[in-house]
Amino acid sequence: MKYKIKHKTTYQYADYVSLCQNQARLTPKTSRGQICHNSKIEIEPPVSYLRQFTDYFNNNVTAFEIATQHKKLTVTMISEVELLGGANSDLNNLDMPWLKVRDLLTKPSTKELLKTAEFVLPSIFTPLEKGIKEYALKSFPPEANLIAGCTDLMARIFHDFQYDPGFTTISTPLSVVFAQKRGVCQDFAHFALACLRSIGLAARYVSGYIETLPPEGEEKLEGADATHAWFSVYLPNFGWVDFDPTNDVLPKEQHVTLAVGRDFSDVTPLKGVVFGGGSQLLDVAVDMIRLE
Amino acid sequence: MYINENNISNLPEWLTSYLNKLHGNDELFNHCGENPEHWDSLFNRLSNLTADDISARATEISQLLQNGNIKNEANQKCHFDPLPLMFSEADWTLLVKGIKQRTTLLNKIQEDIYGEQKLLIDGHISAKRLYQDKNYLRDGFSLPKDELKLFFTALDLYRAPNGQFKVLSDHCQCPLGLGLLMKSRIIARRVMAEEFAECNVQQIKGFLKIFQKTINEYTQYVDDPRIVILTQGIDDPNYNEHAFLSTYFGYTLVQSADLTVRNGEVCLKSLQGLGKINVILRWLPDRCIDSLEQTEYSLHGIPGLLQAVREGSVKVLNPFGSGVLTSPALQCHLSELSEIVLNEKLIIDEPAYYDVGQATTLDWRLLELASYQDKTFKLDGSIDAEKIRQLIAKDPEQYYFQDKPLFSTAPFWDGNQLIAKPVVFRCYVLTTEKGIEVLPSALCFSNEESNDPTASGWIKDTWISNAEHFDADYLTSSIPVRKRMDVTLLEGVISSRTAEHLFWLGRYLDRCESTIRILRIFIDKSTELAVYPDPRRQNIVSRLLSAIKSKRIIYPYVELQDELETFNIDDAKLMAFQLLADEQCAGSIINTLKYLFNAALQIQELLSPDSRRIMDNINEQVEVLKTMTLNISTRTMQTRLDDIISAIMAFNGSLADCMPNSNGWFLLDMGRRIERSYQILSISSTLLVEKLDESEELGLLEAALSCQVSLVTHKRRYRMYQSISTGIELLLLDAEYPRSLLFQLEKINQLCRHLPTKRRPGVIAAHEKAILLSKTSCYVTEKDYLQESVDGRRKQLIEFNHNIRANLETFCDVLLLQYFTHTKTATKLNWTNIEQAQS
Repeated sequence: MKYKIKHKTTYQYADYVSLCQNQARLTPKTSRGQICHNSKIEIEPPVSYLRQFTDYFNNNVTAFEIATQHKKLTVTMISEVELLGGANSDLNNLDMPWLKVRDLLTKPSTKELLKTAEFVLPSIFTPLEKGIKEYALKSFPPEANLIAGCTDLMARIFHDFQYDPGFTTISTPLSVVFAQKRGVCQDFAHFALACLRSIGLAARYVSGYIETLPPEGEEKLEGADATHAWFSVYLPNFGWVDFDPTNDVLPKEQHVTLAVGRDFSDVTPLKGVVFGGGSQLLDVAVDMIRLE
Repeated sequence: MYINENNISNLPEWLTSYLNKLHGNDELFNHCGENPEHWDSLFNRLSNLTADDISARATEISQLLQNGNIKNEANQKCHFDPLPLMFSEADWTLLVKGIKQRTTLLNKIQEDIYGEQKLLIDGHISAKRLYQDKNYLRDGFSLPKDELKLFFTALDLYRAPNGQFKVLSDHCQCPLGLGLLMKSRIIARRVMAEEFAECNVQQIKGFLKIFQKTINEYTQYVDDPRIVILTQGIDDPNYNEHAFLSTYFGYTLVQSADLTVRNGEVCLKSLQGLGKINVILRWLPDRCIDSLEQTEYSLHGIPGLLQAVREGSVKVLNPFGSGVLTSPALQCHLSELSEIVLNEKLIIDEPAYYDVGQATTLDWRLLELASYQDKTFKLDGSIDAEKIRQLIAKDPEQYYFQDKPLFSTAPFWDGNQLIAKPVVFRCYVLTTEKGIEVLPSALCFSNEESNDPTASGWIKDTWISNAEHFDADYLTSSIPVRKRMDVTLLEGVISSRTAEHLFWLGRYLDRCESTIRILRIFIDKSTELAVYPDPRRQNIVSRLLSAIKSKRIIYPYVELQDELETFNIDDAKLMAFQLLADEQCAGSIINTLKYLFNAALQIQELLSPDSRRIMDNINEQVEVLKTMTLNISTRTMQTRLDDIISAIMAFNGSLADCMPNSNGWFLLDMGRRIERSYQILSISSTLLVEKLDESEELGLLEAALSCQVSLVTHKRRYRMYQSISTGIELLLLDAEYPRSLLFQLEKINQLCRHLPTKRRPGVIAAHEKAILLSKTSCYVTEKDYLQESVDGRRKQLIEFNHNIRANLETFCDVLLLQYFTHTKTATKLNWTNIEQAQS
């Protein structure tokens, strides 16, 4: 499956901004199951400086600066991504007891395991809250296999939690999400991460896009797609396996990965420091169009 | 024990009484070595000093120590001991070897952690603990690898009872205390000059030269390299030290707001515009150095700094990420790591570590509990055993035990005798291309109260005898001579912020002088009135009172059109007190002094030691004013005023010494002239505008002239006839008279030439226009025109003054906008809203 993605972020300020320094993690990764054929970033007003580099988690980062006075900033990323699907086909053959995975991670003996072990630790947005471990263990009885357990956990989050866009913001603590059982994709991903890490498994946050389909008989609206977030679990001898607790599916051909990290703070699609500007108005529009 | 066979009987009583006491682990008593030559030469010298002599030296030292810096509350009390600490040659040789080995090891570990991570894969360092340490900076991985080498580090050592040195802690981020050590060395050399020579003490200068040379090497291909010291600002308890180092090395002292990143380069906002920075000596922790990239948002971060490091356009020292080396996760295993990485045993190691499991069989009274997460956390095994039990039961993984360090003691002079205090030695190290250099001295401090030498209060200089001469060749011959000699012609650059502070310093200095003069005259007139109460005097005092109360002639120089009210003169004393010491009154002397002190603090690094001492004195005056109450006598007030004004005059005088230090000093003069112009305008607009009977008018004129120290000149120059008109001429229109308004304007105009011009030749800039306009109207206006009155008021004078004042305001606005800090508030934004429609 091939997609063309257009992600447009518009920022409007009450006052002039004299300088802004930014970092974007908007270039889709090329990894197993996904090829980013091309991508280009368009920024208005023109940048005075732009560089790309790869961060600690192997994400593509675009650092840019705008030194001209402006009241409006538009960052548009256009990319073409091919999803290979089917990469997860032998998943069930490779599935193994989660306790075995946990033990492998306690004493990482290879570079890969070492890098992976980092995702076992709690992070800023996924603190170890009371009750989370107990919640997680219900999906992971001692004899359970890793993938089976994760699939169960994903389904439970999907059923137990209510999707409620107005309820949370990025600063809502995880304990509130857990207590109220409400939130958006980001909260569900963070919650799942906290669950898996509480029992010693390696799990990471994935930011990306999901294709939405219009209700039957209606045309798809422009800018109707959205950025999305889900989680990914490490399975030895295989790699990372994605789970989308918001939709209770294993991402295959509709999820495009932008960046991965310990939690949202590592993958923020666009962040910046602006000088001046006063109050701001934000608008984000995403289009994800099937090419074939 | 220290025994000097030749002259033990010659030792003075103050020393023998210390030696006769029982000491278990004392530098002098227990660790003087087999052959204490190093102490001998010192004591030979000291043997004829009495306890009083030592006290006198201690007093001299404490005075000298205060001279060096403007005090801030954090290090008010500092006892610098008159008796230095000496190490035997054998001890020092061992220390240097151990310190070099340790620094080599730390460098290699840092390289591995931010590179291959072999030590983690092989399990020598616990990955889990390291990953959780907040000093493990993931951003470090995307930086050029040659950015990782340490530069300037320090370590704290102590001596255990068995005579072995142990490491208490490493300082790999921003080692503190070098300035203190340098300062104490300067004082020691002065107070103990003879002993110093006798003991053949190694100089520390060589080390400091290498410090600079190493930095120079980073910039050797740059024509006009800019090196800055980055400080948090005057709120930092160690600001004094940053300022001291800035003065010593000649590097510009900057705060985060002075720097901005453009096109991947770090730039200093200076009067001349943006100038590229090549090296940043950061005295800020690396965890909050870039407010864009790093998760931990800090006001002191410079957005984009890491990108500039990534570009290789700026060098940050110590390198980014070096804080991880002090993480307990690896400090606990340094002995082991040394054998793996260097294939050597650690020469100086730290007190033994035990994990919680191991410690169950040990005697806790000799141990303390420490945390992997929080370096400051410590619990004493003999006191807090119960608490420890609870903590380790809950989360055993988070803690470890360590042998309690048993510090050696050293003699400190406490008023009239020597007392033993536990001591720590902080040694300083440089990693250079050519190898590792150890500073041949140490900051010896007593850690009874704090592990921070700048807060501990009790410090000692450490003397290392000069066994071999310092390699002088290395210092002189190999300092690179720059090809472009014209570099030497460039003056030091100052930041816009510093420029602005200089301008305000000038304004506050003049404001202070003027307010004091007004108050003096006011007190003088009102006491005179008490003795000779007549209506004319009463009117003058009442008008002065009103002019002060309505803040027309003091800051903020309120412009009011209406007549002065008449006040009950019984309020005179209250008014005088408020003007002097009321912190609620914006223009009071106490407040102006506070602003003045603050501005001086901000530019401390440009001041000479003498200026700093006087500024200290001014701060003391503020403290005295704070304690004043309403019932003080006018006589006491007058004495205070005399003291303050002499301090200000002394400060003004001492500034002449500082002027060559930087090219921004003209701004101080500019500030002064602006302030004085405001005063002349406000005084003449307030006191000289009403048409009164002649004797009363002349009385007010006299007061106005006295405020501007122009009374005598006025009397001399207009011997025959004095009137408002002659007063106006002298105060406002006389271009030759140094205290006139026109003279100030002329000066301001001249000073403008120092401002970097941003226009093409032949075009006058807005601020210059404003001054030109004012000057011209002074030149073309007749004094008699200004003194004419309609309905009892000199409306033309009011209007004339008002126009000039408006021009001055324009001038200041332009100055602020074009030349001073353009610091706008930085806002951090995460431009993301995650909303996802369920499919």
